[in-house]
Amino acid sequence: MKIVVNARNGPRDFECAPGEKILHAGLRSAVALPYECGTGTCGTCKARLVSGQARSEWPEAPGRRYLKSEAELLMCQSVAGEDCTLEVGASLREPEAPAPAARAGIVRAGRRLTHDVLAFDVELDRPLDFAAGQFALLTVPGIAGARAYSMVNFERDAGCLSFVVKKKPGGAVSEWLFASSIEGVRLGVFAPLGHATFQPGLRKHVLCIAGGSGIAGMMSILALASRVEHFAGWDGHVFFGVRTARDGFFLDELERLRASGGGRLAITVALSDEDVPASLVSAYPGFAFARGLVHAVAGERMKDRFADVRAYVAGPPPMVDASLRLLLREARLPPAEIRYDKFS
Amino acid sequence: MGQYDRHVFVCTSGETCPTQGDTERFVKTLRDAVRAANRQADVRVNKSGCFSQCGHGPMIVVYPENVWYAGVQESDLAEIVTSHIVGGCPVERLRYDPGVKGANKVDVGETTAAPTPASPAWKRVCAVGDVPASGMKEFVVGGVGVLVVHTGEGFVAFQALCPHEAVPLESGVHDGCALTCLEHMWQFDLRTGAPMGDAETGLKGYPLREEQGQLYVAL
Repeated sequence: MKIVVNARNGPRDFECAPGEKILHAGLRSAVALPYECGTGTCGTCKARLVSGQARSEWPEAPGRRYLKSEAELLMCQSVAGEDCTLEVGASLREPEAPAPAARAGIVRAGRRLTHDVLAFDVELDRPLDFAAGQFALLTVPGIAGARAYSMVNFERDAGCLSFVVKKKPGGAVSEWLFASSIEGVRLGVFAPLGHATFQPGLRKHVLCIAGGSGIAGMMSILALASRVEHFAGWDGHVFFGVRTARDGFFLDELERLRASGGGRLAITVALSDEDVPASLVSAYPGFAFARGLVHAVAGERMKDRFADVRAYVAGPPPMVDASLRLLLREARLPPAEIRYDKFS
Repeated sequence: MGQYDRHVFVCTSGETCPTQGDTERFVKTLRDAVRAANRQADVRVNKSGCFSQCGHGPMIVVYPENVWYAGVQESDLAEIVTSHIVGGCPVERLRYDPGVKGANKVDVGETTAAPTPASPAWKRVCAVGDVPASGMKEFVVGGVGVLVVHTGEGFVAFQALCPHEAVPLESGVHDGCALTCLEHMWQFDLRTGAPMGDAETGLKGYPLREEQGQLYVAL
C-alpha cells in the first residue's frame, strides 16, 4: 500500500506492508517521520488521515490524549487498510542516523545488576548499524505492544545489543524479564530509533544527566566518545542519579571510562534517598559523590561551566523535565544542544 | 464530489468579522492569489454571511478539509493560499478549534461602538498578582486561551497552545527572553512571538495593558 505524508515542506511517499505500522514503514524507507517514543505514549507521531483507511492497533494508547479529532491517529500504533494520505504538522528533515529495520533477536546472558535492575543481551539475526545513544523497540512473544530500551553498547555493525531494564511492578515486559528464564527466547527488534545521539567530531563538552536506567544510552555515548578520544580535547561531565548506594550499577564500567579519559571525564554519583556511605566513596576514589536529586546536583556543580556544552538527558519523566528546565533556564543552552528521547 | 477542489468562504457580512479586518479586501486578495496560481478553475472563493462564531474573526472556512481559520490577518493570506488552498496543507497556527460544537459567539463589547483594529475591545484577563513573578499562566478569555508571561520586567500575552502539537505552553519554560515548549523544544522570542531555532511558526501575540493592578488583552 502506498502512504503519502503531506508535511509543511511538501509531500513524501513510501510503501507500507499489510500489518506494518505506518511509522515503521516510513522510517525504514528513510522518510524522517516525527516520533519520539515509538510506543504509543508521547503523541509526537500524530498525523491526520486525509484519505484512505487506517486503524489503531492500540485504541487505549496514552498518546491518544494528544489527538484532537477522530481523523487523527498515532502513526506508531496504526496500520493502513488501503492507500492513505496523511498530514503532519511539521517539516520532515533529512534522516540523521541509519534507517531502522525489523529484525529478529535471541535473548542471551540475562544477569542482575542490582535488586531491581537487569542487564541482558540480544543476539541479532543480522548486524545493525546505529548511532550512540539510540534505542530499540523490543517485542516479546505473547505480550502486546513494543517496549523501548536504549542500547548500552556501541559498535559498528553490531551483532549483539546490550540493554538494561528496571523492574517495574505491573509492567508486563519488565515482569516477564525478571520472572522467567529468558535465555534463548526470540524477540522482535525494530531499530535503531532515537535522536539523542552522539556523533564523532562533535566540537562540544559533553554533559550527561541520567537517572537510574537512563544511564543506558549514556554508556553507549561514553563508549564511543572514549573510543574516538573525544575527552582528549573536550570535557565530559556525567551525573548519575540513583536512590541509594545499593541502587548503583555500571560504576566499574564508568570508572574504566573515567580512567581512560585522561582526567577530563568527571563522574558524579548523586544519591537522592540517603547520605553517601563512606564505603562507596572509598570504593570509587576517582568519583565525586553528592546527596540530592541528580538535576539539582548537576545544576550546582556545573554552574558557570555551561559554555560550549552538549547535554544528554535520560531517566524518569520528572527527572527529565526538571533537567530540561535547568538546561534551558539556568544554563541557557540552545534547544539543539539538549538531546533527550521521551519514552516512559 | 463537489464542483471545486477547494471552496473558500470568507465572512464579509457578519456583525464582527468585517470590523476586525478588511474582509472585502481579503476576498479580493485570495481571488487574485488563486488566479496567480492558475487555480481559478478548481478553487472558488465566496463571500459569506455569519458563521455564528462572532468575536473570533476575521474568519475563513476552507472545504473539503472543513478547516476553520480564526483571527486571520491580511499578512496570513499568502500562507493560507500557498500552504492550504494550493498546497493542501492547512495552516495549523491559524486553525480555529474552540473545543465546542456549533455556535460560539463571544461578547466583543458594546456593539454600538464595534471594535476596530485601531480601538480593540480590551478584555480583563486577571489581576497582576495572578501570574507568578517571572512565570506564566494560562487564562481563558472569551473562549480563547491566552498565555500571560511575566518576563521579569513586564507582561506579554500570546496564544496558549504551541503551534506545533497544540501543547499548553504554560508547562514550558521561559527565561525572560525566550519561551520554550518542553514537548519538542520549539522556542519563541518573547518580545515578538517570532519562531527561534527549530520552531517553524511563531506565536500569535495579543496587545496587553495594565491598569490599576488588572491585566487586559485585546483579542
